[in-house]
Amino acid sequence: MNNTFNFNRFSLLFKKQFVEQRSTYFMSTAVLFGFLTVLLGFSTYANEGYVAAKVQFTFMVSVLMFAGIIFTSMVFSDLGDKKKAIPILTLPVSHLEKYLVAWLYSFPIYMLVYFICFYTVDGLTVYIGNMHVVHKNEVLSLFDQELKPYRVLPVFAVLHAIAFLGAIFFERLHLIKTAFATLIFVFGIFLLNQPLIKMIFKPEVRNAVPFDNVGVVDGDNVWYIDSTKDSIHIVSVLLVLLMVIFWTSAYFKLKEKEV
Amino acid sequence: MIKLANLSFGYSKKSLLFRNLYLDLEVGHIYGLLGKNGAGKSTLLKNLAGLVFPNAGTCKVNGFLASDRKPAFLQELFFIPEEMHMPSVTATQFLNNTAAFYPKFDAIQFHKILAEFDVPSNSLLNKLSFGQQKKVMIAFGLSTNTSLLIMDEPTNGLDIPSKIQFRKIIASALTDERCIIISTHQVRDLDSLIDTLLVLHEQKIILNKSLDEIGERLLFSAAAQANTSNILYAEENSMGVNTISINAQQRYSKVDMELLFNGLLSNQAALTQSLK
Repeated sequence: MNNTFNFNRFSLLFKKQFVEQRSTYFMSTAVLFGFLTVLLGFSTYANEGYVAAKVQFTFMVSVLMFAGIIFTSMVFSDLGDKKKAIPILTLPVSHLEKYLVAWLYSFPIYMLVYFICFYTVDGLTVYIGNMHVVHKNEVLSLFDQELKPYRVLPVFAVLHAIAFLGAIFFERLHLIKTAFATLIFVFGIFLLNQPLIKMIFKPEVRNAVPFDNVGVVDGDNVWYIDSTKDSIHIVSVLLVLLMVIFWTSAYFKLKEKEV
Repeated sequence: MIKLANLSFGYSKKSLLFRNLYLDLEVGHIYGLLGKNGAGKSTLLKNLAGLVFPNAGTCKVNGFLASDRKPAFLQELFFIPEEMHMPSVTATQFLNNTAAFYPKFDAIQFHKILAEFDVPSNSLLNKLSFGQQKKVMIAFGLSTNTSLLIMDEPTNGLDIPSKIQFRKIIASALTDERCIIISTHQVRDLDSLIDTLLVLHEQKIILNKSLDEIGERLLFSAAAQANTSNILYAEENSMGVNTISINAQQRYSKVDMELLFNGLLSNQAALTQSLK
């Protein structure tokens, strides 16, 4: 018997999760659909039928992040409640199978449902708006060359990893506590950056923005040295590493969960 | 089947609930676990189910470390907690979604026990009363046919006729391949049900004996019928005085678990010495 992963057990758990949570999932999807309708519909109505690509992009990104973080923060909330945690932890499935089901529902399946909702609402809004305007609106493409909306996907993956770890790490108030911990982490980076930069550079430096630029003091002048375009890859690699560390940590935290 | 070796556990390292605990439990028995409030009965059961991890020592069930919670270990274990959350599905839907995780699950047995308990299989579980929810879980737990069934205060919330049915159903569910552990503070609910008594007190298991062995060594009787020279514990009640004395003449008496439990708490040394 494979105690790490078994496809039959995994699919049974996937199905059980859906059947027992389907009313919550359907209600959440309805709320998401309604929220997008209100935002896009009101904006189009207020602009007499026009809905610019930038407006669509702003709503797409902000609701994706906002709803995704809330949903992910709740994915392990049952483990914070003893009554709910016992049947979950004693169900004969492996830690990996439990982890993968939570990960699948909160990341790829959430994104799929989100984009179906977004493009349905966006398509309808554009269609109705176009009945009344001269310059026709266009549905925002995920691969739009100017706005590059697809670039939000890796950003969402990083936020998901943070929220996913927070969901298993904290027993209650997952969202608030995760946001607070993230804020302390970011604040710490900004706080450490200045002394580190001063340690690295010989001339007097100031106003250093982490991973972006640094101001070199030359008498009364401050000369800014900007990072190269390619340096974004360093930040990207760091974020990917952080994401993998957070997802892996969430697995081990699940394995060590006690009630 | 269950082996606790040198197990110590506490929710904080400074105040341990168990210290250097040793315990061997075997299949083919129904164990009754007794202890005062806060003695750690539920925590001990959670250690067996891998829901909490020992600070020191090991807890092995069927050769698996409980804390690893491997599927091979979990599919031979069913744990019925004192308080439970039920999903918004019917008993039949719950069966369809959950039974497949237990290889020896018997659906006919499940429906039969539900019928005996008079619980509808088509009502949403979260809408049932606490007692009915408990009956569904007892029926499900018994039908999994796992080698270890743990029940924490199973009779809480059951009405009097259901308690009688519970005793009947549990007694009929015991097989040579199965170990059932029942924890309770309502000692009378275990009457004519358990065959071995475990008593947890002050971080230790102070008693792990079959009722037959206890009955052979101790005499439970009214003061008039007691072995007066060897009374180990006496308790006054409205009917007179009940005693526990040394059963020197091998007389038969029914083990009064409540009296024995009270006796162990007040005169542990003499009673445990007599039972050695």
